Amino acid sequence: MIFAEWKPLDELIDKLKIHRKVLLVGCATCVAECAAGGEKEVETLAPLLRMALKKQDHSIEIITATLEKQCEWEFVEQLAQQVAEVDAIMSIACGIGVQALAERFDPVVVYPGVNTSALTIREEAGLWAARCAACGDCILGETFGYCPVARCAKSLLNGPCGGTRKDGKCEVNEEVDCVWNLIVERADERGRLESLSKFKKAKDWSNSSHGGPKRVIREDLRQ
Amino acid sequence: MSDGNQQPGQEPEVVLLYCQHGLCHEAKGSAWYQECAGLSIRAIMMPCSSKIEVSYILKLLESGADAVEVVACPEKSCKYLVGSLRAERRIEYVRGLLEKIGYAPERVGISRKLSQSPVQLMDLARARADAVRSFGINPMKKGE
Ligand code: SF4
Ligand code: SF4
Repeated sequence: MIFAEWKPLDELIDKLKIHRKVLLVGCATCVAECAAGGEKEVETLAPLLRMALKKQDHSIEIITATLEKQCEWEFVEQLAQQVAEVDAIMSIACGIGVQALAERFDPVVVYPGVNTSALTIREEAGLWAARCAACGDCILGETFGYCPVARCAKSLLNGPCGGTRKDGKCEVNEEVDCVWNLIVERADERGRLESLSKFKKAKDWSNSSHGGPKRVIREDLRQ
Repeated sequence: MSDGNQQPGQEPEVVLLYCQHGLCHEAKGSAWYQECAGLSIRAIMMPCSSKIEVSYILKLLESGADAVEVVACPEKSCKYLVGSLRAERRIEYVRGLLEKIGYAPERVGISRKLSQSPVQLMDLARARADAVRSFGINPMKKGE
């Protein structure tokens, strides 16, 4: 899922205090899964912001909404009536949702309420960890299902770096497994260690963000 | 430290959210109410303390409660095993949020108690009221 986390509350309060009426919008998909921008978080952040603003003597009305998906135009459209009443929007969806609102409701100002920071899996309750970095040239087939781009602190494609701790943790963070240690262990278990020492072509980064903004056309799906 | 305006004569309004197992058997099923001098208490029974969401507590404070006291079962007595532990973690989280926006975290608290009499529950609410008295009334009541 796309992972996001609340921006510092001071930063949010600072943005809102110049407004009269604000719409706080969440998204019930990825950001709800990572407990940053779903309905629960909207209904937590709204009273918190109202309390903070009132304490600073700003009388700002905050209304709320949570869309099923903030990155689909059909859902975004559902906000039209509420947006007509406000002079600013704060979105706690990922950056895609924020931009969808900014595009649809121009010239109303749209503030991001979260920082979108990773593509993660929920490893256990309250613990998310990166799994993919959308590199555009997936190599999981050669790395035994572990992604070194997202999970190695140095994004090494030919690890381990030599700094792996004795307990198999990364030298950069003692709480994180060295993903290259995991790769080597799994290769060994499957009797395929030799596959890791094979010569590999340089990875093609042109299909990642290094290749410029992504734009995809599928003629079969176009109207 | 004060996060609000202390006004003479205004007694703290406390909301008491208690797990159904926090109330003794004899008092269950009967509408119970305890007069408490100098204190306004609203007591609400919950099926389990884990039902208490962070947003509920913030909405209570937003709507003017001066303090919220949660009564959850002791760790090993929770009928849902981890319910009261979850409640405790949420209370810690709310207190952290309050601190960040300049409200006294003491406005929210949790006690781990089982089978309390109405009088004992009221005492817990009173203790919470005492803990916030020095902070003054909830700033949300300003200009009411
Ligand atoms: S190799 Fe690239 S596409 Fe595959 S999981 Fe890693 S970052 Fe994602
Ligand atoms: S210890 Fe492992 S995960 Fe950490 S930087 Fe080195 S190779 Fe990457």
